[in-house]
Amino acid sequence: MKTTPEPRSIHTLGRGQVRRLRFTVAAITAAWVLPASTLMFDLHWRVGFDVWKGLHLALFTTLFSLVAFGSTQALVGYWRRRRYGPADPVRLLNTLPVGGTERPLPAGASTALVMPICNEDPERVFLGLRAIYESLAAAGQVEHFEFFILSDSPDPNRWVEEEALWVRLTKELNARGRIFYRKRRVNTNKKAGNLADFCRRWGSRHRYMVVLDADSIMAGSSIVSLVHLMEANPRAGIIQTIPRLVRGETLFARLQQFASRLYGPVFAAGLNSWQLGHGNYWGHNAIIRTAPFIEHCSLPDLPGNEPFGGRILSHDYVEAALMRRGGWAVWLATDLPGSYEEGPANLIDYAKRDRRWLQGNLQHAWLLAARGLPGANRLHLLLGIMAYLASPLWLAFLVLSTVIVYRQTATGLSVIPRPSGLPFVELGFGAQGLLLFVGTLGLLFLPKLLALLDLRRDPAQWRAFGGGARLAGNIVLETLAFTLFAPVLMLFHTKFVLNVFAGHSVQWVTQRRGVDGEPEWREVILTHLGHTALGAAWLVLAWWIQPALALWLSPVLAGLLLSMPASLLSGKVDLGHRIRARGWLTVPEESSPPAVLARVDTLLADRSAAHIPQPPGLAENYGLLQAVLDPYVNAVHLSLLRTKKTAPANLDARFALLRERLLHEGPDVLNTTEKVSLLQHADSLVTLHRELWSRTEAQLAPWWRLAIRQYNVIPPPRRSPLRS
Amino acid sequence: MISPASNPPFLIRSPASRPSTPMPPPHPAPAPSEAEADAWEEAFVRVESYLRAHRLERRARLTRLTDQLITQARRERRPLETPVAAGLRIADHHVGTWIERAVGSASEAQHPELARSRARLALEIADVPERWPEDFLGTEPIPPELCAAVRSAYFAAGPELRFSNMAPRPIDLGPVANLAGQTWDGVRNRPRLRRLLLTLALAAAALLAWQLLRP
Repeated sequence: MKTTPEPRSIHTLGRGQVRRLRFTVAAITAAWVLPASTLMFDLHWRVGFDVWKGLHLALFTTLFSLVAFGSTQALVGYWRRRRYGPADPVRLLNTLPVGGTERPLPAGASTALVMPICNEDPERVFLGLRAIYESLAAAGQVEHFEFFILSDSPDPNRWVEEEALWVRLTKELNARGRIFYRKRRVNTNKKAGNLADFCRRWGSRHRYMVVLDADSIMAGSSIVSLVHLMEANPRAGIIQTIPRLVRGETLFARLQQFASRLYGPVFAAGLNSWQLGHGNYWGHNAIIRTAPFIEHCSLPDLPGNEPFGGRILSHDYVEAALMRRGGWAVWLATDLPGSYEEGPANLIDYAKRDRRWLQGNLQHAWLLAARGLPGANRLHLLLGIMAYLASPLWLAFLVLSTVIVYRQTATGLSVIPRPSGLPFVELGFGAQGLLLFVGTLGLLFLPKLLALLDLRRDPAQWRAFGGGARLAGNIVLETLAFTLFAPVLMLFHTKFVLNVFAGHSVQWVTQRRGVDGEPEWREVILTHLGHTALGAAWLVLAWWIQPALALWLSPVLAGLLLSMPASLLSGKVDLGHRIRARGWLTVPEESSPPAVLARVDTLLADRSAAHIPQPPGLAENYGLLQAVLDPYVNAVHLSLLRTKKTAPANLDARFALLRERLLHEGPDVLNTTEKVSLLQHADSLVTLHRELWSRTEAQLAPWWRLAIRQYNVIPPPRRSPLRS
Repeated sequence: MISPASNPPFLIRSPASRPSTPMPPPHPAPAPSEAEADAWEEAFVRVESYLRAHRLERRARLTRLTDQLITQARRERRPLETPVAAGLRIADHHVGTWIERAVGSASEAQHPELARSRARLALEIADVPERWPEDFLGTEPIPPELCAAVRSAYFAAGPELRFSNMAPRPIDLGPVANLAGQTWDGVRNRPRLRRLLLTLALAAAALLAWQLLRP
């Protein structure tokens, strides 16, 4: 038989070698799935096969295939890392030119760093951006980059604060003409529309753009490496990095970052081994070749309306597919360090994020059979859909299992299984069931074991994770925690899928991170009451049907019954801090923090130390207050507004009315839309600033009187006890 | 008691506490002359606050300049104009004139108010109030280095536009998705058909439940 030799680098990757790599993954997955599903079929056949058991088998095979595919990727990834190490020929990083990040970038490799934001904490956003800028400056290549903050923040306070922080940042970094800020008036098509808007205005100024999320942090050397990789691979349209989760403060966030950091490398290597240049784009911490992106990646609308049709929400997968359709490669930069992001702080926020992603991924069903998309991208789209559809399927599998046992028990007859129909299987009925159960568990735990073995080969990293005993303890803790969380997420996802099918669309919710992300008792109780009640009812029912069924379902039922305390405790910042102080769930980025992360921490600590609480009573509309009252903030805001040449006369009258209400009655009488309208109207801002300062106190609302007194040199006299 | 500066927290570098004085209750209506004196007192405080909002922090200069401006406002007050409005008009004119002396006139600009805003922003960017506290808003000649610093502090929110055409390319969703789309649209637009399908689905679910729970 003719064998295809291993490629020396991705540049010499032949079609046959690609096929062989993909066949390996498919064959190993099949090698797990076929025996398992056959055993399951035989198990049902031994006690009498019927349509419900057929359905049960179909669900088992689907769910087991997903688990097997994941484990296969980990297995292949582990094998490649062990066999080749950093010299893996399908590793994109091996195409980095000699000299790496030290090499100066070519003059034409102009790159935009774009950060779309929407109502995130502006201080955190700008501190992160500052750390990235400083890191690039330290790498000595900042002159090749321009930074764009692309705001879609609908909150007027956040908007004004962003503008002021942008001025402060450019001033402090002396980065005038290098860091830019744009706020869209209308948030058409959300994040994808924001990026497209950038591309239409300034995209052609730059050969590349690095897309960042509001919580992204990237080391300057990594960004420079990405540009070098693009230059070295002229057919690469997108290179996606693997962002590591960092700065987790709550137990939930720390569990996520520990798991993703430990298991990530083997999964990434396995994923890369089959997707190769048909990779995926995850929406941020990636570099994009601008010209083909502009040419091929503008998103069309899907048939129908939201939630299924209309605008594409999860744009990244589709953009990767469109880039591939245009003939450009999409690569995953496995092992490129220096790419970070933050994760949701608690289970409820995690579910909220999933709600948005779920709807976007379900929309991809339209594109599965679209003409011109490569097979690998169809698979990415399908896996994205299945990542969420797996939850209702799992629930259906568990319900069906309960029903099958009930139907059997309700007959009152003893189960007398016939001998196995499979050759070479001479197991008893119970032993066969146990084998299947243990096999499934083994497949679930295999990636953890492989990741541990992979880490063992790197003593420095092993120590950075806290060493053997601590690692083992952390894995047990992480496994227990996610065993409890998994059934809750199953119910969340199922509810979300039903919502989408019922036609309820999702709102674009700003994600909370850090201390602000702590869940509240009330929110926890309201969110998990249904889960707990369902868990209790299911436990009673399962116990009544057959105690063994309750035992088999116990991990799922425990997750549901404990959902309230698990959700609340895992979202506590104090608990996360205590766990970190004791050295548990430590990741290498904490034991020896990279310079860019250490800088972010320092900046945030400085901010906390210098934090001035906003005056009570004024905080709710502080941005509006500053934009109207403060001469400099007013100037910043006006300087960034687009002036309209003509405006209808009735519009002027409407704005005059709004201005009068704002000054005379205070900001509470206006709704957010009215406040934003005023902030978007340059003439109103000029007039408001002048009028506010020129009116006597009697002509102003008490709120403005209080606001203006912030600038008084001498406060009003204290009331004398001698006078009434 | 002197309250510390209260600049916007996101533009300031040094922490400052803020007065949280409650609003005083309204006083009984004073006699006309007393009311006039109170009105000018209010105007004085307002102009002083306005200048302070521009970060004129030297107390002696602040008081002196406020006094000058209020004296001028008393002379040039227009009929029906409140002292506060007169004081602010004069103060605003003084600030505007000083900025024009530093960076040139904005009256020729297409949007003079916006041009003045940009100039005011340039003062902030060049740190004029902190770097030239003795010259800021003064009546003396402006140092050339101050003018140069302000003129070089102008900046834009974005670089020069270079428009690209980024139009969506149609995607052929394939026969299955197209058929599904047409069917979906058909069902959405026919309420009777929707009700019928819903009834059938409920009946099927009931049948399924009966089948499942039948021993």
